[in-house]
Parts: sequence; structure tokens; C-alpha cells
Amino acid sequence: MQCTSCSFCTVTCPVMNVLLTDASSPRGRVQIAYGLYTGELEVDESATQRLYECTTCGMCDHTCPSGVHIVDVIKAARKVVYPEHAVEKQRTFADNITEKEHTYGELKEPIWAFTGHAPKERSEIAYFMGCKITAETGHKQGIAAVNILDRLGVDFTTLNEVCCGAPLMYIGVSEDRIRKQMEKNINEIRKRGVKKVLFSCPSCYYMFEKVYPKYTDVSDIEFQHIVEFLDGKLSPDEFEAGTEPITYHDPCHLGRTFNIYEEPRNLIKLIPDADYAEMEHNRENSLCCGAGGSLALYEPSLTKKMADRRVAEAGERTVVSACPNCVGNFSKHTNAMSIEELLWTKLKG
Amino acid sequence: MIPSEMLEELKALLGDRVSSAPADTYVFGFDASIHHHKADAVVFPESTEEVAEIVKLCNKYRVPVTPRGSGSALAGQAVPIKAGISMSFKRMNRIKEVRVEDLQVIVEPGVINDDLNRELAKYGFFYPPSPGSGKVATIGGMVAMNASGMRALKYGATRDYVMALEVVMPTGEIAHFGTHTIKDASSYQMAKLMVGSEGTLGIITEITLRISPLPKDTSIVLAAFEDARMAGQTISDIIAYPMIPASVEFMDRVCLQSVINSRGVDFPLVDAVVMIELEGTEEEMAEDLKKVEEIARKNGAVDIRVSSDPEKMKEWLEARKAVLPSMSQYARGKMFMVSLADDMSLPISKIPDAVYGFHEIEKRHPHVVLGVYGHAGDGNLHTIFLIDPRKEEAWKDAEKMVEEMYELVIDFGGTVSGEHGIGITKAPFMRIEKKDSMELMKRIKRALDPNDIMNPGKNVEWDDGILVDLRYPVEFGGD
Repeated sequence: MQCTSCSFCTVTCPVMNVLLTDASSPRGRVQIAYGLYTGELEVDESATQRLYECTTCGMCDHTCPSGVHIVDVIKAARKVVYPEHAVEKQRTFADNITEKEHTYGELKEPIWAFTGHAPKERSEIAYFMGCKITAETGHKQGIAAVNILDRLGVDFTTLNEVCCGAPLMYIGVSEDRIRKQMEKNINEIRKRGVKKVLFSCPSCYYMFEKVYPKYTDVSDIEFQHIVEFLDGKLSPDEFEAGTEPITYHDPCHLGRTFNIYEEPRNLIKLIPDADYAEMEHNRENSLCCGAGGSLALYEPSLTKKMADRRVAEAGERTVVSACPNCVGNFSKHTNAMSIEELLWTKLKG
Repeated sequence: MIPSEMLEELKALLGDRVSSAPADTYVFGFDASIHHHKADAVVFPESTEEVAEIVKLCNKYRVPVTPRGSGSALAGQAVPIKAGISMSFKRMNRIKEVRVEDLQVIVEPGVINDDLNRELAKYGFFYPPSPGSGKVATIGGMVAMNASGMRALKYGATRDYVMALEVVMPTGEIAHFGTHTIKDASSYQMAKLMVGSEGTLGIITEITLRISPLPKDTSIVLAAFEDARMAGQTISDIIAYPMIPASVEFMDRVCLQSVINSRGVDFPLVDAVVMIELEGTEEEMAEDLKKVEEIARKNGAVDIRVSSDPEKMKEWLEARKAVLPSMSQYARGKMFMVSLADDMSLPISKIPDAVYGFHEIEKRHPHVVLGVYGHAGDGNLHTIFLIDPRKEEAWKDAEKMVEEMYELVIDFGGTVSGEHGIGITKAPFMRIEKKDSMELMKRIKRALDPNDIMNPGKNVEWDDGILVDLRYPVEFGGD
């Protein structure tokens, strides 16, 4: 009822702008959730489809003048449709996480094997890598992050981490299963005396900073995205000059949830004579890459269409981002790299 | 339910651009009004020819068809109240031709107002009608409602800008009304008849609009008052001076609080604010600004703010445009905005008395909080009701209040809608206001739409009350 049905969210939604139907707009999803709640709609394929056709990018929350937490409504409604109507790939991910602790199944290589950093018994700072980096994208982002921290002389530890639980939340799996992931991670962090955790993945950061505190008191631990940590710790004279033509893609959570827009740009601009230009939609108006919110599991063809729109904005420029999910998605369609890789390859020596 | 043969024929025509999926037909049963009714199927045509074929099928099978832009109508115009087909124009959204030398632009109905203005700005032109919902309002919807918005005082409403229309008539033939010339005295002004017809007389598939050069410079004055009647008096005094600003907007305390809560804008929280938008050369504006300030001070303004900074003016204008959807932020979680008596137009001189009168009526209705805002400079007010829509007594109280307010409007020589249209929610009061022309209008409807398929049951055809097919979780126990 908080929703006045004004439709302001419909024109900014990147999914709606591809599918061009009100049924797949934020307002439409809120209305479907309402219909499921009142019983006017049954849980069926059509309701499921519209609820999962969303990347939870948060553009609607950012737009809504009525202050409706639209993404929260969608996530709650997904819990209703998940048991009967999840697709196989969603179930596989959920089972992987709860049975093998990681989104993509058991790790083929432990973190220490490709980073050279085994978990330390005690350390005040930890680096949480996230499933996308530990398992799928060739570890490059994680290696670069670890190398930069080493170069700065940061005393940190890696962790025997498990999936943060974000995919479970996006798919609509029950909160109990998310809590189990949280308990394992928080126990691991506390066991090593960690006071601050750094993240490369904005979704992991979101879970620790915004979701875990709903379940338990984690106020004794500070959580921070790595671009925020690195901002101000490097100087231009440490970098080789020049880059290929690049642009920066704002990850949804890092931007619209945490307002971290300038820190990654500050880091990129440390590179003397960087060939940098913004895309048309940037900062709070940035368009989702299409891979968020488990959409890539449910409807990969829609993910591709959304990525295509963003790639068209980037043109010939390499897309740099601070999210392994975005980088992984863009890499299927254009040149893309993480901000950690960009910085590490341009650092002298 | 629509016949299965018809659905098959629609699929043959449109492929996957037709849906009868329950979630889809449910969503297309909403607009921004208080009403909801599921469609039987949703279609997404991409051309005038497809629209004509769909309408022919509707006519053949006697199935209602309700056209839909962005679904932001406030009185139920896009709700398929008799079920049937909901026709979305999201896929007919091209700006077909910009002809600045002929002062016109040709568009498809799904083009969004602000997108059109972004394109026209490249040529130094704009389309002046400026609804608060300009970010989402489609040109087709604006024509169907005769929408206007903030600049009507100086520039007029949509009707003043429609030069020509392509319309699919209720029997499926394609008709062209109006001309591509500035002047037109050729027979009946059918294009003007279609403007404001709310999809009940035909479906608009192409629109030729007159355009205007962008103004040179603009400034905005915000004048704050602790007495809303004096704010209204200020508006009348400015017009009578004489001065015709680009817009003169009014917001009362409830609206100001809502938009401050929603957007954090730096509006003063007072009984009422008048926002005056001036255009012209630097010299012209300096003179007008001086006079506006003088009039506002004479009427007891407690705070006057002036800006020519584009960023600040954009912030103020966008905040003003966000008043309506921000209203649920006033008493969050307890009272919610519902669209009742959302729009009325009055002789400009009656604004102070109308604002006072509405709030006096509000005092007699304990279940309603009333917000008043609008384009007061042209006599067009919007009133927003905040109620708990889960409670029957709140609706009954609100219904009575709507009746009293519209009685006042009609007594003042006003009309029940200035720009949001009639649809369902205002139809009972239009019957009172236009009692001697209702039958004539019904005859026009019957002549053009003999099988009553075109957005049926709305406007001149609605013969029920307003608390019908509500989209809220409330049950009425009966009288």
C-alpha cells in the first residue's frame, strides 16, 4: 500500500527497458507480490518468471519517491515461489552452497595455493575473496588484490571462507540456510582475532554489512570494500603512465547501496595519462550488468541482453569494475578487468 | 473471458507479443488509481496496422480493449474495468520526425514526455505541457487525458499542441484527423474531440505536436506563507498585476512535509509555499522578480527565496513534481495516499476560497488527512487523500468528503477535472457538472463505437459510484 503505483520505477528499471512489459517492471513485481499475499494470484510459472526476471540492482529503490523497499519485497516473494518453481540451476547453486560450502561446488584449489597466502592463526585484517574469485574467474582478481596488499605491507590473512549466502538470498532459499553460512564465516573470522574484513565482491560485502547484523551482533568487526581501503594509500608516481581506453562500471551494491562512487575513480585516476571516459549511465544511474540477483541462473538470455546494452555504452573501451560478478559477465561479451588487476598491472616494479 | 479462437488469432498476428498469463493480466489490471480489474489478455502492437487488426478482432468478438501508456492514470482510465484486452504502447515509442522548420514533431504514442523534450532540446525547442509525471507519462496517454501540468498558465494544455492525429477507430478503420499546418479551419475539429477522450472513442497511433522554442532564461521564486489563503491571494495578485509567469505552483504543509521527507529538499515547512517560474531576458526577469517579491511581501510572505541556478531550480522543480508519489511518506506505515478527488479546475480568483474550503471540509472528516497542491496559477488544484485504506470507515468518510469537495468546486464555477481526466473515479461528479450535455456525449460515443468495445464503462458511460473494484484489501459490510 506504500506503493502509490506512480510508475516512476518502471522507466528506470533496466529489465523493463529490455522486456518492455509492465509485468516485468518493479511496480509489476510489487503488484505480483501483493497478489500472492492476498491470494488473488496463485503461485505459478508466470508469477515466478516475473519475480526472477530481476537483478535486484536497486535502481527502483533509488527511484521510488514513496520510499518502498522494492527489492526487499521481491526477495520476500521469491521465498514463496522458490520451493515449487525454482529452476534446476538455482537448485544446484543452493545445494552446492549448503552441501559443499561454495557456490560452484568444492574448491578445485585452496586459496593459499594460488595466492601464496595460507590463513594465519591471528591477524587483525582479513581478506574475504568470495566464490566468484575462488572458483570461476581464474583467480586473477584475487591474486591482484593480494599482491597490492602485500606491496602496501598490509599484515592480513586469508580465510577458510565459505559462501556468504548471497545467492541463497537472491534465489529465495530460507533464511536458516543463510544463517548457517553466516555462522561459519563469523566463527572463522573471530577465531583468527580479525577486527577488519576486506572484500573484493560487493555482494559479499553487502551480506556482511547489511544482512548478517540482522541475525547476530557483528559490531565488533569492521567490513570494508577493498577500493575504499586502498583509496589514499597509493600515489601516482608508483604507476606506469597510460592505459588502453578504459571506462568504469559501477557495481549496483557498491554504488547504490554503499555510495562508493568516487573511491574507484580516484584509484584509476592515479594512473598518469589514463585513457579514461565515463559511460552515459554512471554512478547512481549506472545500469546493471545483468548478472545480479541470480538472473543469470534463471534467464541467461536476458542477462546477455542487459550486458549488451551496457557494452554498447562502453564502445571500444575496456570495462573496469570492482565486482567479480560484473567482470565475469562482461568478459563474455567484451574486454573487461577488475580494478585490482588494472592497478596491479600498472604498478611499477 | 475472451474466446479461445480470438486468442489464437491474436497469437497468429503478434506471436509472443500477446500474453494471457495470470501474472501479466493481473498487473495490467492496475494503473495509479484506486481501482483494479484483471485483463483477459495483454497485447503489444508495434504498428498502426497491428493496432487496427487487433481492434477488428475485438469488434468481431465484441471484446473490450483498453489502451495503456505507462499506466500512470489517476482515475482508472487504464484499468480494463470490463476485462478484455489491455493494449500496451511500450513498443510504439519512436520519435518519427522532428520538423523544427514547421514547428512540429511526429511521434508514436508510447514516447515518453521527458524523452521527447530531451530530443527537442537538441534543436532548441520543447513541448511545453509539463505534467508532474513527465518522466513516465507517454504522449499517447497525455493526449488521451488532455494532460497539461505546470506550464499551462502561459503555454496551454495538450489540446493546444495537437495538430494531427492518426486514430484507429472502434470499428478498425484508420483515420487521420487535423492537419500538419499551423492553421486549420477545415470542417469539424475531430483531432480536438479525440484529445481527452480517454481511449473511449478510438486508439491514437500517431501524434503530430506543435513545438515551441526553448525560453532564454528562467528564474524561480519560492514564497512561504503561514496562511494558505494569503498564498492563494498572492497568486491572484500576480496574475492581476498583470503578469503571466511560466508556472505558479502551490503546495500546502502536508505536501511540503511529504516531499521534504521523501527527497530532503530545502523547502520551508510552512502553511503554504507558492513557487513562481519566470521566463524571459535578464532585464525582463529582473523587473518581474522585483514585482513578485513586492506582492508576496505585501501578502505576508515569511520567507522568499530566489534562484537562477539551473541545479537548484531543477531540484525545486523535481521536488514539486514528486509531491504526489511522495505523499505516502507523510505518515509512513499508518496512512497511505489514495487517488480521490485528485484534480479540479477553478476560476483563478477562487483558489484562496477553495483551499480554505477544502480544509474546512477536512475538519469534518476524521479519517482523512488532506494535502492540497497544484498549478494554482491556472486554477488547477490537486488534492491528495491520506487514509488507512484497510478500513471501511476511512473509505466511507473519504467518499463523503469527495462529494462535499466537488459540490464546492461546482458551486465555484469549476470543473471536476483540469488535467487528470474522468475515468471511473470522477465520473459520478461529471454527471452532476455536465448534466445537460451528458446525453449528447453519450450519443457521440454510441455513434463512433457502436459495439461499445473501446475502453467501455468509463467516463460518460460510468453509472456507478467511486468505491468500486478497489485495489486495496478492504471489504465493505454493506449499508
